[in-house]
Amino acid sequence: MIAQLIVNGLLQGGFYACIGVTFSIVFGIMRIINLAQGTQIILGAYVTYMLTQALQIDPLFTLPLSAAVLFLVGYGIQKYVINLVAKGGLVITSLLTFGLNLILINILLLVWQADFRATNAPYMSLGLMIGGVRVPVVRLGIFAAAILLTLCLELFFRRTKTGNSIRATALNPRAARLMGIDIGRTYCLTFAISSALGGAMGTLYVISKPISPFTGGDFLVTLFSVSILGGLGSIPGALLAGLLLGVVESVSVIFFGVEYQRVVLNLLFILILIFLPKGLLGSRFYD
Amino acid sequence: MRRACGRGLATLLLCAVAALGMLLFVEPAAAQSGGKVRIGAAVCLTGGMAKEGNQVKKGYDTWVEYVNTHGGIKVQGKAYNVEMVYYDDKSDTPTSAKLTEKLITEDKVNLILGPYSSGITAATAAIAEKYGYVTLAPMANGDFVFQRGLKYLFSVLPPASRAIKYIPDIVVKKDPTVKTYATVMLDHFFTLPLGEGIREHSKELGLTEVYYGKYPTGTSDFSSIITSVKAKKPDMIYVGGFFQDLVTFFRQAKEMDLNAKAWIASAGPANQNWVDVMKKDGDYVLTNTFYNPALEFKGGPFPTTKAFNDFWRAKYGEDCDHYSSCGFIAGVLLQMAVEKANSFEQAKIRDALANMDVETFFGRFKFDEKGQNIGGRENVMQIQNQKHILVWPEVAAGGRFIYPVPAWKDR
Repeated sequence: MIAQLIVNGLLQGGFYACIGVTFSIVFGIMRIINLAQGTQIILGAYVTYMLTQALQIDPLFTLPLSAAVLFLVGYGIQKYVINLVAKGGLVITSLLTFGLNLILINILLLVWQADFRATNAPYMSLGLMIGGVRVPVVRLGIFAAAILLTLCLELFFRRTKTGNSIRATALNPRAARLMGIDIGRTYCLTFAISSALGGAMGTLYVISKPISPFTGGDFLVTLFSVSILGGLGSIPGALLAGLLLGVVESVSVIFFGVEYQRVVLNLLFILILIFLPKGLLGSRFYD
Repeated sequence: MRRACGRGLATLLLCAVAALGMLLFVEPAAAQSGGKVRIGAAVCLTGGMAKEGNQVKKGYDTWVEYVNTHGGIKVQGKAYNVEMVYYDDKSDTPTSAKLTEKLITEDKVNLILGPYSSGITAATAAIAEKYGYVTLAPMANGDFVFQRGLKYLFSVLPPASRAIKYIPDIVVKKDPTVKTYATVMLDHFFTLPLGEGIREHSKELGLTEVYYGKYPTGTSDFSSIITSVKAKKPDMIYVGGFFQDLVTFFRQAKEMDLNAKAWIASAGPANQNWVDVMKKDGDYVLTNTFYNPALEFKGGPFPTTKAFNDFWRAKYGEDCDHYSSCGFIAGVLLQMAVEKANSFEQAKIRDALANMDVETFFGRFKFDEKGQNIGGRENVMQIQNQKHILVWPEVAAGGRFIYPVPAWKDR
């Protein structure tokens, strides 16, 4: 049973890791807490839902499209809304993203109502037996896709000029500007990339789970925990943290029962804040 | 339901403050406004519960049209046509409470039909009680709503603790060798009573519980629970939760190859949406329903359930659903009470409801001192071939209960 629980935890953790990354890069690079990120992920899921309904195609094929739509949405939000108050500090931008979240939820409600929606892929709910452990195919796929996308993002940050300019801006915006980097545009790109990855995660989410306009709210604690445990802005950190959280959550069932799964996670979060404020690999989330 | 209910405490406080400030007692207005009786209802027309609220309103509206074309409500030899006064409570508990107060004090309606959901009803019923108004609640079955000593609240639905309580009877009758069960319940005031009821009755049946787990709201991964349940190999599995919880649970149960001879789940599989989303993976689940077109009850304005459903089909081209049916029957019961009281006086209507014991095309209605419907019993459906089939009571129009449920790999 323990092996099964660890596998369950790793598979769930892959998803946690990836949504954590999207939150972490915006938080770490721009010092913006994007409270709308959960709902943006769900927006990506709705794009997938809409396309599968309209075109009767496999939800996985819609992944590039939901990422593209969310890229544009993210770029627009940053350029025309957040950049205008970016200098206002953490409280102002948090209030702003809180408001954006409400607006997004209400747009989703207007368009799709409060009903739960779900896609139904033919490979849905299939499972494999590997060495006495049951491995659900869809979750394994989601896990692989999440890890792959995260690694691509890390490569992008390390190996491309744009990636380097984003990292430079994160380290010291003023110095970056002196080097000729357009800060406003870099911020837009960062936000857009985070949104696009979120949109892709939304596609993966809706393949196995039903969504409603309110589903995004359930992601927030995970988003915070993963990005802070991993270290703000650190992609490998978030990956590690997501997997760790997934496994801890899953295995804690043996010791504390299902009722306390969430309590264990939140307790872990508090302990990290007290004893490991820099996270596993990164910087402190507060100054 | 759960979103709106969270504000219950705040509403209670609000009610308390309002009650202190309110020394004015408002006499329910007389009915004779041009042969019309005005009925007020604040329902969710927008917001998170808009869909359910609008379905309830459709039930109300259809009842009103039916009454007005069939001689109206008769009191002291005079016939009164019904006129509805609606407000949209935006799926928000405090708003619904305020609107109910407005209906009574400003609009001076003669009668009140309840809102949608247990949480909102708990608040509006307290307001109505303050003014001595009867609340006939179409869709409130949370046990907590009735544990506050309200004297003017009556509910169409039987209490939640009885909703799935008797379903194991069907399984045990079919297979007396069934011995064990596992219970997985959402830790929420709406679903915990479901679990308490069915576990209590299972104990009476001599069954053994091999697993009991409560999961928090917002749980999106059931794999640890399913792993634990699977290790215990139960004969039956009881699952309680909201629609999204149950969809995820059943999908993961298939992924993890968790099997049982019988599955009992509420609330979610009763929705048409369940079949649309789950397709054949949603089959074989036993669930509760209050209304089903296949029922064979008699009485009330329609001779049989079928006659009612034919009337509905002729009008809308589809079967009447759970929500609209509850709205419709709430109107019917209110009319019965008013006609029995032969008055629009609230106290007399209350007494008429308290003493009511009627058979209708929806089933029996008899209220206990808390206003809960203890005469009616929820019926049982099984999803078969992506259709909702009534399997209890065993009526001619119903279907055969399929048992045991095949393992996932054999479906």
